Amino acid sequence: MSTLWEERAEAWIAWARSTNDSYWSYRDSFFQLVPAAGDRTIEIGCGEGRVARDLAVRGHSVVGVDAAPTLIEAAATADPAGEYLVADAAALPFEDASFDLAVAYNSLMDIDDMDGAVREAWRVLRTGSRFSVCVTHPVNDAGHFEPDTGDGAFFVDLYRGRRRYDEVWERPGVSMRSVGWCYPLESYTRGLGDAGFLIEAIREPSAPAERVAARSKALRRLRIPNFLMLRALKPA
Amino acid sequence: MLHDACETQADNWTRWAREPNFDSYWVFHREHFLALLPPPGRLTLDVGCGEGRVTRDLRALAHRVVGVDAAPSMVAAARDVDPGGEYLVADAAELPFEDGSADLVVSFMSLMDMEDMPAAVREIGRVLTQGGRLLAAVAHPVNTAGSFAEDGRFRTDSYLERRRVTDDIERDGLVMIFHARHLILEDYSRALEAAGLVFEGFREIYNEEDPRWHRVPLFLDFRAVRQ
Repeated sequence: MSTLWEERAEAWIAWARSTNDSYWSYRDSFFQLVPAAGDRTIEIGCGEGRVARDLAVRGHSVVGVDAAPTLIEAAATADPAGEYLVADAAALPFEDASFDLAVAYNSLMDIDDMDGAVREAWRVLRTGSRFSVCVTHPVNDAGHFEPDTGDGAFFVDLYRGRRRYDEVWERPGVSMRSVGWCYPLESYTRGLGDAGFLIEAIREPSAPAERVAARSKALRRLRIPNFLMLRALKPA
Repeated sequence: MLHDACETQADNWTRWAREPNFDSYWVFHREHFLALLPPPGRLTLDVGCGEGRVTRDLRALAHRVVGVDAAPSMVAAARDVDPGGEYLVADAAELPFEDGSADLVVSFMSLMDMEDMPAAVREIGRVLTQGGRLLAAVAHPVNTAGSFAEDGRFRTDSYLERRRVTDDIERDGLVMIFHARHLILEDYSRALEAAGLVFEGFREIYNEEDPRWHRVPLFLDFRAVRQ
C-alpha cells in the first residue's frame, strides 16, 4: 500500500490541501477526542502533514511519520520547523515509551499490517497515554448508495471481513484514486484490544452543516456516517 | 423490551426462549457470549434476565447471581423453573444493590430494549466495584438500522437516526414481536463514559445458518471494565 501512496502522492497533496477533502469539515469532531498537548506526540500516517500542522498549532510537539517519501517531503516543506520522517508504521524507529500521545487520522485502514501498526503505537506510548484514531466508518465501507446522490438509499453489501477499497474520487479539476482496506468494527477493536488498549470513547459524527451546505451529496452524511473516531488508552 | 410491550409478550417470549434449539441464544449466540465471561466473583447481576436462561447458565458456571427484570411475569417464569435461584422485579435504572457490591453485571440482549439505556448503564456503573466488568449483548446497530428487502438486499434508510424498531417474527407456529430501539455505537460509548466504564473489546455475531446474515451482523457483544 505504501508504494501506491507514493505513486499517487502528488494527486493526494493537491486533494488534501483543497477544500474537497473532508478533513476540513471533520477535524473539529476529531480534535474533541485528542487530549491536550503533552511532551511529545506521534502522528502515524501523517501524509502531507495537515493534521500534524494542526496539532502543532494546538501546542503539540509532533513527529509525523509516513511510509511515502514524497508525502514526507511535502510535509517538511510546508512546515520547516516540524519533524517528519519516512517510516513503516509497523516498525517505528523509536524507543519504547517515547510518546505521550499517538494520533492516526484516516491511516490505519490504508496500512497493510494494521495490527502491527497498532502494536507499534502501543509500544512507543507511555503507560496512561492515549491513541486518538479516525477511520472510515465500517457501515459506509460496507455498502453503496443507490442512486449515488445525497438522498440515495443505502444498501449494505458486505460488512464482514477485510475487503479491498479502490475508488476514484472526482471533483472539478481534481481526481484522486484512493486504495486501501475496509474493515468491520471488530477488526479495529480486536487489534486495539489485543495490543493492550482500552477504548474510552467512540464517536460517529454526522456531516457538519457547512459541508452539507457546500455540497448536496453530503446530505447522505446526515444518515450514513463517513467516519468512526475513537480514543484508546494504554492502561497502567 | 420496552416495558409494557415486554409484560404483554411474556408468555410468548417464555415459550420462544425455552423451545430447544430455537432461539439464537441456544443455536449460536450463547457460545460466543459466554466465551467473554469473566470468572465468578462475589456477586454477578443479570440485568434484564427475562425468563432466566442466562441466569441459569451463570449458576451452572458457579456464579453467585441475582436475576433482575422489570416484568413481573418474566421473573415469575424464571423462579418457576429455578426455585433455588434469586430473581427480583426491579427497574434497571434503580437496582436494589449497594454501590460497588457486584463484580460482574451481565446484560444479554436487554440494553437496547430499555426506556432509558444511559440511566441503566449509569446504575450498572454504580453497583460495579472498581475493576468490575459489564458483559453485554445488544442488537447490532447495523441490524437495527435496516432490513432485508424482498430481493434479499439489506436496505438502510438511516444509521444515524435513533428510533423505535419492531420486528414481527413467526417461526414454526411461534410468534414474537420484538420491540427495541435503534441505538448506535456512540450511544453505548457515551453511556459507558458517563458511568465510568471503558470498553475492553467487541465481538460482532453473525448467523452462520442463514446466508443473508453472513454478510450483515446480527448482534454486538461487548465487555467493559469499571475504572
